[in-house]
Amino acid sequence: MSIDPLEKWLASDVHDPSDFPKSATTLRDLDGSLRCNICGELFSAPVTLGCGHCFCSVCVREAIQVKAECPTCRKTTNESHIRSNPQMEAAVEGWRNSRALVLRLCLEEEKRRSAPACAPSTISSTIKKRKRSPDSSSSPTTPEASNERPDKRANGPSSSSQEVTIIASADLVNCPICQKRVQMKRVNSHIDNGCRSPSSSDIERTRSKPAQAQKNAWSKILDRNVSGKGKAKERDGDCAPLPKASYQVLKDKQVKDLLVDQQLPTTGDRNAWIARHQRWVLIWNANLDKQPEQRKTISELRAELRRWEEGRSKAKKAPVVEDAVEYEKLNKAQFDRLIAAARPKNSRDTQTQTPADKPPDEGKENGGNDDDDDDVIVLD
Amino acid sequence: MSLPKETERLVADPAPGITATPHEDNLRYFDVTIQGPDGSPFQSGVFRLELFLPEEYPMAPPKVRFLTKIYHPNIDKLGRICLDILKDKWSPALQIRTVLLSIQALLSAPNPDDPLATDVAKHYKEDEKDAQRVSREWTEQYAMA
Repeated sequence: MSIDPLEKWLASDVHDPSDFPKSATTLRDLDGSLRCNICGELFSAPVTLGCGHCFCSVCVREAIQVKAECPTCRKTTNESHIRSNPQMEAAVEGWRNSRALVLRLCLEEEKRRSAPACAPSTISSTIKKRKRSPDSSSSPTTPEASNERPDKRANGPSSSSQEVTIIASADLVNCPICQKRVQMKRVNSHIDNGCRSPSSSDIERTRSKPAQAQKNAWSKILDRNVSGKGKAKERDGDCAPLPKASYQVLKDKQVKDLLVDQQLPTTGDRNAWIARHQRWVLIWNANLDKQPEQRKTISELRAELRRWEEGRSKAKKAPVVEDAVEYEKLNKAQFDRLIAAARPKNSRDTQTQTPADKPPDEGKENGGNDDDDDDVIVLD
Repeated sequence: MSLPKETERLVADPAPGITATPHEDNLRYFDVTIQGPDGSPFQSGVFRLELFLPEEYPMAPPKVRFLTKIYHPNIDKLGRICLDILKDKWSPALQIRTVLLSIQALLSAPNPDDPLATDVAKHYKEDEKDAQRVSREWTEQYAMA
């Protein structure tokens, strides 16, 4: 049995609390507690209901449309109880930005602890060892303690030496982004390259933050503010939530006008219009639950709506068969093959075990349960 | 949307006594096994189930069915399961893992007052000892690998 597609897809960039090693339970808990119970993602526009439970705005609005209760505790609720939770949003944003680093450190730490300490017999490594000794002697070695160690300390002993170059430590600075040790004159090109340029790894930490790095850090912060303001301005006029419409009492023309008001496409039939407008109101209002600087632009929202409709129509179109007879003729070979494949499976299912597992019992069980063999149906 | 993550979690960190493996050609379709809980008539049996996640999941519940024959008042002979969270008590905050754990719990605590297999439920209500004996027999006959 080939599980290639599965493996490929498991290896794809899906984040989950289980990314962290089993020993790091606290980090797993932290990662899990910043995720929406509905979609399993880190909260996007977190909102709180009257009961205090927190979800992504889009997820809970969608859930409430189906059933007006809290998905976690089932307490009756409605959209008017939704309150945005900017503190949680800030916490999630912080975690989102530091997660990769923490995960890397955590995995390195795990690797370091599981592998026996093998010291490469080069001069550079002995230098490195000696210089680091005060730090590593003070660092705790029990697994529990090392999990709770602050990042900075964990960084020291964990990043093991692969390509150790000897550079006078005065020349080295911390990259403000990835925290790697970089030669000061190279720090700009290092950052420009997205932190990929070779960093001289971990010789010794110097506390002094050079002016260049500081300048970079400041400009990063300032730049972000500037762009945030710009974005907010762009959307200034239209920050009011959209009201829900009661479509049942509206005539076709009025439903269409709702779309026209929002400059949305008016393709499809009445049902398509309603679904489109409903979704638009949902993602629009969910977007307003984000902090202004995090919000998506209108064109981004339009693109999101388009993707949602495409996904829906794809899912809907699949089972539609225009001409059943023609379809049957066209796919006869495939159907025959499936029927042939299903026959042995059918008898196997009622026996509840594969013949290969226990061939001697096969006949006996078959005999006892002939009357049940036709009971197997296919799940709809 | 939430599908890959949840599958990964299931595969990476399965609940005790439960396995769920997605089909390679349809990642919404899972082969499931549940071990009969200790202390129940289904003890030491391994029951096969199929689980399908509809397009609307998680806003709609997954569809689950026993493939292994089982003598239980809330599971009929087609393998359909009478469990509130699979129907009107579904919540999008529930997950595949919680659903399967609930089914395992249902094996420990049959509820003949809300039956799906009426004859089995009647048996359980009239003579629980004898009904449990039949459940044990069926487990030995169908659910022992």
